[in-house]
Amino acid sequence: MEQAIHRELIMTGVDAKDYEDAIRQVGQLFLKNGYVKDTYIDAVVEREKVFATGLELEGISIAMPHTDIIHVNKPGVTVAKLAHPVEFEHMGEPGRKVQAEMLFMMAITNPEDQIGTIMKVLGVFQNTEALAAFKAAENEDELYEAAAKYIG
Amino acid sequence: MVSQDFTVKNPTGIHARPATMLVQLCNGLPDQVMITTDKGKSVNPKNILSVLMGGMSKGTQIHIEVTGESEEDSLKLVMDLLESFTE
Repeated sequence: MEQAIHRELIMTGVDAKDYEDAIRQVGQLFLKNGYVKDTYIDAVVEREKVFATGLELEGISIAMPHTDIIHVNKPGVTVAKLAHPVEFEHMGEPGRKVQAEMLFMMAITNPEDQIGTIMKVLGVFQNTEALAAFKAAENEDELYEAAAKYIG
Repeated sequence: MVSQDFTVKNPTGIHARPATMLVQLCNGLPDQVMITTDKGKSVNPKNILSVLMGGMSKGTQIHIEVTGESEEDSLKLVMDLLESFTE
């Protein structure tokens, strides 16, 4: 699997009013850096409505929005911290709400890589030292440092 | 208890959308369902995080066990869903 973390996909202080706004703002990272086609963001928003991606982990809640490979040019994952938590629905549990603090939005070109990316991100948050580093990061440089160190 | 083996065939593996569908199906079943993988992981298919961390990628061999009053029917439903994954 290629390196997942890229400096241009890091963002902090995302001030979003709801999950759709969060997806649209963070999705711009992919769009302006050429990772995705201009259909990608709408496709992610639509997919999130049907198959939610919020996840309540030990100590932090996140969301991992994504969509089909036809909307993607090259693979990557965003590491975005929201200025304040935004409500997503929990993956696999319709009706259960999650106050997501971070968005790991995925651009996938090879479906067989997706499992590795999800497991890497979830694995990171089982490490309390990594969790603390992500929580403490106050700007994009600090967040990139944590992401590069713990996700790779 | 009834059980069956299965090899994951879809490219995404039991992740994201397929994982969601498996968890939703299993949570609607009255029986106990347990999955073990060829890497020795135990997966609770009623818990999404357990499923995601199970690492059931394409080619993974899994063993599904169902225990309960309607175990035969439940196992069939689980197998039919697993067989239906294409993405």
